Amino acid sequence: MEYLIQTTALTKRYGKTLAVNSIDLVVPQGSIFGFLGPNGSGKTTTIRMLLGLIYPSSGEVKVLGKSMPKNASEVLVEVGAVVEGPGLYASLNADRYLERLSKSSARARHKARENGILPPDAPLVPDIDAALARVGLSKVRDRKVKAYSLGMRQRLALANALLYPRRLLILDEPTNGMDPQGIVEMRQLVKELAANGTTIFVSSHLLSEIEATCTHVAVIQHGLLLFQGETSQLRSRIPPTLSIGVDDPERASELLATLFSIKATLSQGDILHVTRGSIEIEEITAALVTNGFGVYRISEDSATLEEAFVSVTGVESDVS
Amino acid sequence: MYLEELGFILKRRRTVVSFAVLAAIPIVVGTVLATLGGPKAGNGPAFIDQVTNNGVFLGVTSITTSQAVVIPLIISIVAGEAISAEASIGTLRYLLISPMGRTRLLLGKFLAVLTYALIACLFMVGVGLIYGAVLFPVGRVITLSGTSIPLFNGIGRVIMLGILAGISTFSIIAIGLFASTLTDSAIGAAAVTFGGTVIVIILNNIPELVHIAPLLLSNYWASGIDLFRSPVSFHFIIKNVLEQIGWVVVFLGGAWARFTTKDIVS
Repeated sequence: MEYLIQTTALTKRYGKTLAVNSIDLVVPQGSIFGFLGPNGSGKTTTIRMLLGLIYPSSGEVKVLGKSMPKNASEVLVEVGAVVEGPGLYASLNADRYLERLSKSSARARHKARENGILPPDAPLVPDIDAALARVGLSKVRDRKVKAYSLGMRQRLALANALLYPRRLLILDEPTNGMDPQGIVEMRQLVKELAANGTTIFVSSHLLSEIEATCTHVAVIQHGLLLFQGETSQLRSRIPPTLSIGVDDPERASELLATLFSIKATLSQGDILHVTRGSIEIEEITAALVTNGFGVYRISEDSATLEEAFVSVTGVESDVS
Repeated sequence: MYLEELGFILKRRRTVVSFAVLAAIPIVVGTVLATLGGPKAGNGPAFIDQVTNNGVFLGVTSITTSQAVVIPLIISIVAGEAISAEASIGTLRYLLISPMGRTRLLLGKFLAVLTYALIACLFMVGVGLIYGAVLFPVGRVITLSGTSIPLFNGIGRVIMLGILAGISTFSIIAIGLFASTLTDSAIGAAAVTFGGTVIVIILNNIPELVHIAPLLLSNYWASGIDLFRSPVSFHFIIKNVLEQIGWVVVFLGGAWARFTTKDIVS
């Protein structure tokens, strides 16, 4: 499997603070990779190191198989990124903004095409119309950016990342400030791009975002990588819960404890919740019924990503 | 990058305001002289006593009166914000990952500000020449050596003076760019640059410091008036150019060393 991002013992130290502590990140090609962590966990520092904006204190970064920041200009022509929200020239309109940012990359793109890094038919001039249409800004493109809402600015930053065909998109909190409509559109766009073969690395502190779209996920906290793998793997860290609707739940609970030594908790609607381990659902149902209980509901729910996330990070939510 | 950057600087509103200030100086000085008459010979800033006799000198006076404050101020602002303003609004990271090499970005900015300085000084000279021709008679130019040279030759030398005034700011630009890599505050970088320049000018006027004077960036700024000798004396003009190059090497080198190793966290 090819990895589009690979870090080895990547570390960033600010004085005594370890912002990023020896992380080994592997982002497989074709994945939608969620990079999850509370505020101040080292997400943005890591992303900036991936893009060559921050130099690592130690360790190695490879993006598209090449060392960063040494090969930044070769690598970044194939990478689109939104980093910590939009950076905008207030007095320019959307068109001029994108034009300025594309002009700054003209030389790198030209060289990359000559050296065969980009295909010979790779565009040197961006399709600004298409990029703006893609993020839904076509109608407001002539308006000065200072009149844009935060969500619109975020969309413009995304348009910049999509100016050219990319192999990898690195999106740092892309839905920050977007309205629900924007978030849904964003999700849709990410899926579309992924379907077309773009690998997407997206950071968020919102679990719902990651849960809805990502095939892979990594969890970072206090600069340490606590988990990485497929999203389903993270979820399976917490066993599914069996919910049983039964008359006389308290006695049923005692029965389950005696028969299977499993502890049941009782929720407000008089529903029993048990973690069944290796015991089959049929066994539990049969035991309840043969002992005279009326079972009117039974269902099994896998853990939400949120529960899995908390199981990895602990419950504390302090900004660190 | 260079052309994009130059266009970007020239189209800004503050550039328009700066150019209005640059134009105001010959207009105000010319209007005052036309209304009240010029000072007696030898009084006031260099050549101001000649303006009423020959409008060409309004261009010269504009430069000689602005060289110590107005021009350094306008240049300090543009140089000081070159990198820091992009950093503070968050566009620096997008320029770099677009991608563009840090050295290229720095050089593009530097050359664009150099060009801006030359354009600004030539603009001022141009306004001075035109407004001088409107208000006053123009004709053969009397040199400091007492000889007279043809009008077109004289105008050529005034334009050269403008170019030299632009070159005289190259050291300020390098300092400003260096300051600009140290902070995300454009105003801070501009203030430090302008303040530093003013301090150097003050030191340059203290007679006791005459031995270090040749090292001060403003020491040969007045050399431009040697253009109005016959024949032109290039001795101090060349020293001024070398002085500027020296400071550019030091501070552009510093800016490069800083910018290419800096973590971009803005």
